[in-house]
Amino acid sequence: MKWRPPPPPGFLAALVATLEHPLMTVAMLGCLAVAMVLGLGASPGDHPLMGPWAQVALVLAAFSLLAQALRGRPAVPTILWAGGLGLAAIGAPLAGGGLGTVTLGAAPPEAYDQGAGERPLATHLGGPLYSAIEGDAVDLRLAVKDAELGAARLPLDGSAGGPVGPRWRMRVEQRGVAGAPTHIRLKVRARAGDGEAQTLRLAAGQATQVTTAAGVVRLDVRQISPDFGRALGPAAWLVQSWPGADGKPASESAWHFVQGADLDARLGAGPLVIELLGVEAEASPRLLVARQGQPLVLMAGLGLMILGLLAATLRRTA
Amino acid sequence: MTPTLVVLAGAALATLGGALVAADRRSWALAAGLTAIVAAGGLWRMAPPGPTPGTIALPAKIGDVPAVTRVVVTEGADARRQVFAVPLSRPLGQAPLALGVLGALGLLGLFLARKRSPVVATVLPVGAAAGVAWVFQQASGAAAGEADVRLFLERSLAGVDVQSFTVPEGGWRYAGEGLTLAAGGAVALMLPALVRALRPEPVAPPAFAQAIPVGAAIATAGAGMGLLAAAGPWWTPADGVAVGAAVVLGGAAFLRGRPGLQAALVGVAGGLAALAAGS
Repeated sequence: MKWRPPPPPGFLAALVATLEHPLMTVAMLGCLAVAMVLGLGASPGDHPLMGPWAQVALVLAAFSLLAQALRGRPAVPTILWAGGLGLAAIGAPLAGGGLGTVTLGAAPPEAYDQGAGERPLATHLGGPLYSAIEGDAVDLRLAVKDAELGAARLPLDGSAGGPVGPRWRMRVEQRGVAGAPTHIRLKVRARAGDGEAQTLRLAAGQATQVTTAAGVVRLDVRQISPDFGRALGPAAWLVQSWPGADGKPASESAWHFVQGADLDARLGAGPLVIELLGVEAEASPRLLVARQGQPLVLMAGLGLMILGLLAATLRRTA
Repeated sequence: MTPTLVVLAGAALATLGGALVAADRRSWALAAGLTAIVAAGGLWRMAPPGPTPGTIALPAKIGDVPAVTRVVVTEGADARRQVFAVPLSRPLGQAPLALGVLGALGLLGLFLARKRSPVVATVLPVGAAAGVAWVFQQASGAAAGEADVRLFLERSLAGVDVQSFTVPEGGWRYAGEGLTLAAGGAVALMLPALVRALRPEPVAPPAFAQAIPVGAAIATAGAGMGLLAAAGPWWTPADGVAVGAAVVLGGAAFLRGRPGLQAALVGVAGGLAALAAGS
């Protein structure tokens, strides 16, 4: 004979009666459906499934089905499915939280916006995140000076994600629009006339060294403007630094213009003659970032749900 | 096959099995109405917003990258010059109306399913969803050339003194495939209800009802694949509606003794699965 728990009194009885009514399951699943439709417009990190009320609806739906299964005939498939649903609800936050976004640019970002809704929280990644776009993928490298914390190569279409170091996992969310200028193309040659001209492509904030017969010259890209003073066209602020004749460091800081390519040759005094060839804007991909977690509980829950559904099929067939 | 299409296939199997076996065709007319309402609400949420609130505009893309035009405008008394990168888009004036009609006819279908002919109650949302799919399909597609950019600037930057603009090389396309797929998926998921509504007796043998738990299991596996495909769950909108469809479909599989409620849940899950496929 099947054991049944004694009927609870008063308020508890009403609660149990409500919980085990099929309409309770339907109502909770309906709430979940509404939450998922609302989630279609949510920012990364703000999806309703991460919020408590969608998870409460999930757990209540699971409890409701369990109550129905315990009230009627022993129903192993229902118990398996409802148990799996509860496990998946518990496992979802364990599989990794702290969702947010970071936009890659010429300067490597060191933090991402966690919960990119109205009040994102800037969360430090542990070091600068260097990136380079190679064809249809972006190479990521999280590093502090020479110590590499993590690296990954992710497809730009967002079809796959991957771990970047021990703490984070990342995935491309948007390839991004080429907006503000990020790179310059320039031709440099020694003012003394020795050596051949070199063509370089440098990012904003980047520095490089050019070797001439007179010594090594450091070239810094301080700023890039798409239209200097809204009248003079594309330009870049460049700084040349070199060891001076008396041993003291010397430098020349100047804006260079695409539409005035011969200005530096005529008026400049630095060891390099710089000819700015063009200003380029590179697309800035936006990445989804999350803390690494353990997806085992979530997957076990989903597995139990599938098992329950297959058991239900076999049971009906039998 | 992408995980969201697996979810859609699971929902299609469940709908097919449930509707064709059902003794009560009114329940499935009601399910079609619910699919239409969920699809209308979801499409409204996922459709890219236009320049003004309450409007929809399809973004232009070259591959996966947004297509932009760089415009030079002048402003102020001293005619100061500014350069902007403006993403191209195509406004869809009729889309909000079409989605409103879809939602309204879905709602009307819910009432007519109980009071009037289930055929009429099913035809209305199916026709409206097909109309929405047609609207999005017509607006999608390739574009190229100066004339298209000029048309966009006339619509979007009316009153701004545009001095010059650039034309993206090689042409671009207006990306409405996802919205078309979602609306088309909703139509496909409502068709079994329409077939059932047209026939007085069940179309398939009772054993075919197994398709509901089997479809739910397939949808759950698809949702799981989606969560694992990118190194763990990200809860993107597509992840959310795929998991929602799988859970609601699974819940429906265990309400066998309540065919009306079961059909309603399968209808809701169908709407979510169609949205997952298109998002």
